[in-house]
Amino acid sequence: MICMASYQQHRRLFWLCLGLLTCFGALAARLVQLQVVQHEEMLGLAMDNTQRTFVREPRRGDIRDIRGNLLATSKEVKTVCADPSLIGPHADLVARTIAPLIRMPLPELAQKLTPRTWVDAQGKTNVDKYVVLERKVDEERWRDLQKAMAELPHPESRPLTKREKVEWARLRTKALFTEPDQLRVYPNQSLAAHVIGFVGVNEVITNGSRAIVTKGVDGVEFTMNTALTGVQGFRQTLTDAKRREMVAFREQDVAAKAGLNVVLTLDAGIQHIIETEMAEALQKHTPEGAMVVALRPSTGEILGLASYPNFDLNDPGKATLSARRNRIISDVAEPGSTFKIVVVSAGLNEGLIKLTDQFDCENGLWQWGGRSLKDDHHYGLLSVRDVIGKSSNIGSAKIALLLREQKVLDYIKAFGFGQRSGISLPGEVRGIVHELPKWSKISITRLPMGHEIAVTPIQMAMAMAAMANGGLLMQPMIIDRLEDDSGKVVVKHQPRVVRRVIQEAAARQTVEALKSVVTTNGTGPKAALKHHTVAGKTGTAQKAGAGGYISGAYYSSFIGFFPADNPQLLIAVSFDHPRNGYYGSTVAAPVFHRIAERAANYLAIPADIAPEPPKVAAHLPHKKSREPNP
Amino acid sequence: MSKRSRNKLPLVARWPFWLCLVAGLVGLSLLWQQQQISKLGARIKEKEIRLDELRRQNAAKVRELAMISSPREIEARIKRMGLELVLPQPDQIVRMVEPPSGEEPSQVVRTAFTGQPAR
Repeated sequence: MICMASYQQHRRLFWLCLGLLTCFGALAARLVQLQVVQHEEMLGLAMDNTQRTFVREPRRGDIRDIRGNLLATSKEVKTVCADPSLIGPHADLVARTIAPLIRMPLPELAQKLTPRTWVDAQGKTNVDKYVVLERKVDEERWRDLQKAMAELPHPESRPLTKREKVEWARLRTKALFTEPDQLRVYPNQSLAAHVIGFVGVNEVITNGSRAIVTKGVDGVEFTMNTALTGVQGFRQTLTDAKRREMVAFREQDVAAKAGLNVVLTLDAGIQHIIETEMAEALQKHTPEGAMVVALRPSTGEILGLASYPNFDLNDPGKATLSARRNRIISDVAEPGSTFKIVVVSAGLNEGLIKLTDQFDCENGLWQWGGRSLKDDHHYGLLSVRDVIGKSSNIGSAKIALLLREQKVLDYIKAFGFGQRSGISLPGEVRGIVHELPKWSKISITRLPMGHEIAVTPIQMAMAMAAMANGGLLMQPMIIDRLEDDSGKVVVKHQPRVVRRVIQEAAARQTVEALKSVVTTNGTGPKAALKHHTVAGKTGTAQKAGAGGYISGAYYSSFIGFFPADNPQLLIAVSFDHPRNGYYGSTVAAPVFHRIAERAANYLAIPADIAPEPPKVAAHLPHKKSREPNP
Repeated sequence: MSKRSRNKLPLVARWPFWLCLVAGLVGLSLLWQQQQISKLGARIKEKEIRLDELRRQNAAKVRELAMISSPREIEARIKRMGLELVLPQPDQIVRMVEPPSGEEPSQVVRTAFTGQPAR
């Protein structure tokens, strides 16, 4: 009996063990299949479920002026997107709910939220899961949108099934989502618009994740885009079932490296002075375009650069192409009489002339090469100083003849004409300088007065700066330094001498001649300043169009610097087709005067003209005693 | 039960007790540690959100400051308040000559024009 029972027990035990072994064996086999055979596939699935990589977008660097004033900065905003597959048949309801918060007409919004299906190459039907509703939405508005969605009422009053409840919760919380973005803000609106430039957005997909990248389109935003952009960071982490980050399981956390801050040589104060004075002149002369540039002649640092028409940097889309064009570097025109400085300084540098040498200006009419050359006034003998001071075309043509063609061309090129100045702004053109074979017989008499050549205002300003600084052609400088977000200087730009064009003595003599321009005997007395000696040159040139000169259209300009013997600031003013006057002396010189007066005060440039003694004091009765009368 | 067995029993009974106790304590401390890590994670997240918010607010203030200190805004305010500010004349400007540190205190020079002291 006992043996029988023992046998049965053993048999049961055997089957139990066998069963257990089979089960464990099956489990082990499955484990091997999942962990070994399908390892890669399963690993991928497991990672997809829990591991997330978040891209950390770098903050775009700021643009500041030389005094640290903020000219461009970035604001964190969001791109609001929707998943129509979660919205399903409720597109109209969702559209009505969020329409007051999204800048889009209701019908268009409803259409965007309606799910769209498409068939892929494998014949599988897919539903669109991504539509962009609005870009550049700020944090507050996104919170309002989230709140509106969270309170979205179900259209049916009946009790919902469990599945419907889950779907409705997903719609409320996940149908709208955001992607990080940046909004570029320009606190000074249109100030220095052509220098700062603006940005656009690019959508890029990296490692399957979509990102919106801000990219410079124009101005410093474009040229310094790489430095401003910074470096992306990332965070590799695990998420829970509700896709919330589990901070304790962060695997890699690489912070984004913010873009460098670009500090310009520009001074917002000077820029404002230029723009306000230019606005006043625009009202008076209603030109097609106006350009002003202010720079330090010794270093080439640009303190202000304004081009009209202008535009608001916060809304560049509304500006016309013409308004967005930086005319100072991209427009060429015949410079007119301001170009006389080239041949006169070349003649002085070559030792062919002295300031006191006299030239016969033929009573204002001179025949050369079968064509007549005229002066505005009937001058007889004029010294070289007066050729500049009174802006004689005939006098400067005769100086050019002394130099001969090759030398004139060499000096034109040495002063930087026909080449880009190298300013760190996009869209600069070379201008037009003809080679000798293209010259006609009269070219040598026309070039000194700024004809048969096309230059940009920046080229002309830099040539004048070479006179002011003792003969050195400087590269215009717009970027002073790059700083990191803690203010540490990373790169410091230094002034760059392109070449020595003329000797210091020749430059000094040219400055002496230029001083006579702003005297009552010169062409530009309206540019003279009360407390500073000014050296400068007026220019008036006919505007060329298709098929020749446009009747009644002129370019008027004045380029001057002060104090003449220790130049601190150079200001070049040009107007394209001004009305109510067209001479450089009447249109541009007064603008120079007003800008220079305010700028000298703002920059505290010491006066070099002694103030007149107060006249009122001389007529005051002389008091002998301060004691009261008895 | 023999005397030997009786003496041995408490010893045998003791080590599983201590083993269980140690294992239990290790388990509990692990749980506590995990809880602390989780709490710390939540606090880190909270602080990160707060830091982001503060950074946003700071950036907004910087933008606001830049807007109200822009030359255009300052000029408009001067006009609005009717301050009638005018440019100072050179003889009204007092220039401070600052010596290198450690030298005599700064000297006030009133200049009428370059290089010449005012009378």
